[in-house]
Amino acid sequence: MADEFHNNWSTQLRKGLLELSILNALCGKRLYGYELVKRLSEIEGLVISEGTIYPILSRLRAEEYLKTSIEESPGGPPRKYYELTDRGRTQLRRMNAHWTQLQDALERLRKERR
Amino acid sequence: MNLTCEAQLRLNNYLAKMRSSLRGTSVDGEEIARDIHEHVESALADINPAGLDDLNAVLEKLGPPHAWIASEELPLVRRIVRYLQHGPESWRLPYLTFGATILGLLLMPIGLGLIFMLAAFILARAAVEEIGPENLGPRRWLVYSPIAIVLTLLSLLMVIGPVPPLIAWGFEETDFIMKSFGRSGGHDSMEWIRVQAGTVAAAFGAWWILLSAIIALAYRPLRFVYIPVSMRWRRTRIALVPLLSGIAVGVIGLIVLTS
Repeated sequence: MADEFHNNWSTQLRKGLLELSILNALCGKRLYGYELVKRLSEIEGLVISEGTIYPILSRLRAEEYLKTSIEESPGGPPRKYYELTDRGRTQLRRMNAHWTQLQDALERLRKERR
Repeated sequence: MNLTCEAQLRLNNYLAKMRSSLRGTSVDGEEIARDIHEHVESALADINPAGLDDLNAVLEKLGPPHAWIASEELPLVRRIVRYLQHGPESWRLPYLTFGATILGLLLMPIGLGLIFMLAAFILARAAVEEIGPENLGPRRWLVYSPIAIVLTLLSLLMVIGPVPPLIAWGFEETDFIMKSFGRSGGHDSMEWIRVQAGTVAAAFGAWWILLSAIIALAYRPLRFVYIPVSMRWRRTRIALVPLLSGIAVGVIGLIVLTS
């Protein structure tokens, strides 16, 4: 029961954080899908199924937070590169501000407990 | 990308499952299929030809496509189906139980209902054992209804037992019963009613006394069938209830027949 609760909680947390992490990973750089997935997978506990990232990328593109471009790669398949749009950068600033606010509030709560 | 035949088949199969999982959502399945294809190509770029094991390692990291979309984003019907297919056992069993109960109730008029109700009962019992009665929470509404229905029916069957044919025989042979108990009421309707009431009481009394013996002998299997109701049962106590009721009702019946 405790495990089930923890799993549900961590899944919910990851869901929210993945979008923020993707936007941050693309801040100031262009990455292709596989590269982005590998970069996010390095963050322990963030990506359980790598495939989860692609539907999120698709939605972020539909929301016009991201734009894509296809480019030939040296000796490999053509790659779809993702980058932030102006709208995406604005959204990322808002999300980062919100995240910092939450983080600070949570840290204050934890300090009070000590 | 150069894949072996079996690896190519596996990839096609995976992409087909993925398209099916994303159907009905806001995500374009074809676009994701192209992304996944590119992902696999990038991951296996240095292996030529890539075999089934190489591909499986990549697909395992990608994870099962049904887990890529949050349940809240799926249409209601698919959400329920997902819970049934992939949800934790602690939710899947209660939902299955509830579905079988509804089918059981709907199909009761055409006779198939009993089969579904029994299936619901078994699923409900499995759910109670898997989750534990104290952890059921709101799921108790999904789980306890078929248990209550089936156990009520079973209890009624046990209480009634083989008495109705006995009563029917008694009603047919009222004259014989009257003579057997030395009565000569002729066709006085009050007398007939009294004899028939006495027959009913005596038949139930006899059956319940016999039932108490059956309960005492088959206590363990009965206790198992009646879980979770039977958690606090004791053999003597549970057998005493029909015994005492049987003696009381039987004596009343005999008094009515002989007085």
